[in-house]
Amino acid sequence: MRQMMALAAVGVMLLSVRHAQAQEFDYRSAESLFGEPITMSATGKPERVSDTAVLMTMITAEDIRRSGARDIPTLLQRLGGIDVIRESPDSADVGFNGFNQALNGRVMVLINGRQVYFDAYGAVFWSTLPVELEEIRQIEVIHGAQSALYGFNAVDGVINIVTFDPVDDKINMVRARFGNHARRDVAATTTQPLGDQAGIRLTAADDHAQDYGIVSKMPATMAFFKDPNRRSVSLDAAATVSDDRRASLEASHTDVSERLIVSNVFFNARIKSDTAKVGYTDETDIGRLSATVSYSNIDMPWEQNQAAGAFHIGDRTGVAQISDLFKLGTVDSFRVGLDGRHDQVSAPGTSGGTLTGDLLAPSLMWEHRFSPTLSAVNAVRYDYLKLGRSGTQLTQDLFSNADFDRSDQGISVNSSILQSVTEDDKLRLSFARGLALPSLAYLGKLEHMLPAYGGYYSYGNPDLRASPVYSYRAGWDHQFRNLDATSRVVFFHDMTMSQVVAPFKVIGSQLTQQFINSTGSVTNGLELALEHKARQGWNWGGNYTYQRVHAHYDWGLRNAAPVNKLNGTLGYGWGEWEADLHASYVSATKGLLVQPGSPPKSMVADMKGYTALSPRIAWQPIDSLSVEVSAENLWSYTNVLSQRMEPSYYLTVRVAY
Amino acid sequence: MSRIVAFGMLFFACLLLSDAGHATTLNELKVGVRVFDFLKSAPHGRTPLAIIYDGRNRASVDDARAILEWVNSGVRSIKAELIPSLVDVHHLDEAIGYRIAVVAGGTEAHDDLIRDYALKNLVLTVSSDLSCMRSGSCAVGIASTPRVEVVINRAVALSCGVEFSEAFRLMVREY
Repeated sequence: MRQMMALAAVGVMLLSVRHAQAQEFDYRSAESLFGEPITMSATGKPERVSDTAVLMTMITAEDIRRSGARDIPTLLQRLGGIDVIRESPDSADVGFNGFNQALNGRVMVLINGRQVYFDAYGAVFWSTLPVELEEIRQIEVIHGAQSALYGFNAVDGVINIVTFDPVDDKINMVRARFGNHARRDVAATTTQPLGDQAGIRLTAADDHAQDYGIVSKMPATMAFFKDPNRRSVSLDAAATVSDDRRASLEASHTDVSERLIVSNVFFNARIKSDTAKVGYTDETDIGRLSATVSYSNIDMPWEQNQAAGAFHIGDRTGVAQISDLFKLGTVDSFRVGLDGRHDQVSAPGTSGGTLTGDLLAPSLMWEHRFSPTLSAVNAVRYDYLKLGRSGTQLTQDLFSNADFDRSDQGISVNSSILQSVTEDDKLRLSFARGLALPSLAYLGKLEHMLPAYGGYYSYGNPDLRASPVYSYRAGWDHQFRNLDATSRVVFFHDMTMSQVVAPFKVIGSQLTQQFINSTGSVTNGLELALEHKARQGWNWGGNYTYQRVHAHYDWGLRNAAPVNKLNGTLGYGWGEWEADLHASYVSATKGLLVQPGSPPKSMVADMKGYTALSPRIAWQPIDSLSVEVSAENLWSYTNVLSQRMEPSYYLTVRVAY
Repeated sequence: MSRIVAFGMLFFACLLLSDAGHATTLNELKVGVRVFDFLKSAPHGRTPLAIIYDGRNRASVDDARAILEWVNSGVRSIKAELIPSLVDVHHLDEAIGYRIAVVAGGTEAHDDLIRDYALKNLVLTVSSDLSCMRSGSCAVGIASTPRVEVVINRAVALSCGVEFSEAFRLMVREY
């Protein structure tokens, strides 16, 4: 009730304002002026994508419309340097440059700047994100460490999902999608003005399908069979109190049930996520001041897996951020920021107690323009994390609450140079030092694994340290004007100084598993891309990624990352019709194969390379109606040994009003 | 005879020079008027727009007329409804009540008049001729090829009492 009253109060505030605008930044006006997308993800300041010194890939609303994709991981999978693994029909993990595994905690994902990962596992549950593809203005993907702006865990890359403005962009649509596997997705979104010019967008979605693809259909695995269900409602409102002051409000609720495969043990869960964010920006005499406060409550009321049985885990996160953007003179831009974050994880009945993390992080970004063709960005951030635990301590625990009374800290750095060599050529060089913080589960969990078979305890470790990650990148962009095409070549070299691993050992007579900081790893690689985009006529592009992971530790999956990845797109638009084909090839790698039994066993096995084909044909007889027939995975593939992704066929009807 | 030829060449050179000047393109004008939206205290509603030209330069007159026609036929800023008027650079002292102005091509010979007018009347001047901005006569220079460029002469802008939003300043080049 109190939350409803707070929402009502904000609604009244929005109604009372004189003039309205977008979220914290008016992307639409700036994009319209410069004729190209604008981003704030690279340095925290608004800039044209072609002007940013970092290596960024942009997925635009038009790309999404032509994709035939029904979720964000499918869109990301088609970019160079991105690895996506599918653990069940509706779940996915997304990583960069070979670092991908279940519950990947090395990628920072944001919706309009709000961090959406689940701190407890350091992971993103993609299906819980409260955004429909039709609401997305652009997805900004930054490769390489970005901890100096985003802090811990933004060590492999950042994915910022920017939605349309609820004031200027009128998104009104109803969409229904039907397909095999009893697929039935429906969504509706409506944008309404509030008062003169403030606006609010409301979106609701209900997705359902039948579970499929479990490779070993044994009773022990089929027990975790779970039809994916997703319900989501979200609200996005914005207003400008005057030309210089903008306010925004976002709130959402999602309720998802799905099967996952975490650490290659069958697992299913219900994940409920409630989020709210309030933002305010003011153009003042000392610069562009922004403040945001956000709250998220991710609750997994039941979660069961083959190893630990059923349990309940919850994660509450509160974040406050304030920043000032300003320019001194004509060539120096600065961003000064301060982030505070409180996180609280509890898993009653399993780990005991409540684990907390309190973070404070000041940061500074400085961009200097040496000449019209040469600019440099330097950023630094200091993160201080205070760990704590309170509440009942389990008798099996190796650690007392006092052991969690400790802190971790570190400095992140980003340095980039952009040189416009000619009107058609740009060179980007970057160095970054990021910090990979172990998830709160790695720091403080206590699970009794495989209790039905005698069992063992899996312990977190409060003494785990954040690991520095060094990232070096060199990229060259060239524009082929005669082809109306752009190309990019990127070389990268990433070093992780310490990976968290969980070896087994015997304490007393008890077999245990505990997370520790181990040796590190190195990744070297190359990305090539060439693309031509056009609404009518031919539309084509492709990218190739070569990546080599050299892990210094070995727990069976050493260097388990595909070496070669190739993506291609070919499309044609004529009149009311569009036809597109997306193809991906991923080379062979290794994976863990879980064999159900008493007890279940796992072994490292080879995984074949695969090709995935996704065609689409769309017909738009009038502006307000589109009918699309599409398919995914025309050839079945496996990129987690326990799951086979089978062909899916969709009929999608969208009505805009 | 040679003197006649020399005189003739000089005459044609003068003619060429008098017609020389940067012609504003439609894209440059679209960018130029959108710049007004990023002012602190941006103009709202019906807003007079001066189109400054050199009435003694045919190219400048043609450019100004093209700008006038484009604005009248729909080139507009988001926040303001622009009411355009042609203002001869030789009669700037009669042009009052303007906060914003577009400078047509072919006015280079009168940069000082434009600068003085802008400073005296606190008018934001935008030109598609970057040399106008570089010389300190215009506050904003626009280019649309090979890509859109907006360059602000910070000193001139401040002298004219023109302030852009910080977000906008961060996205453009300042001179």
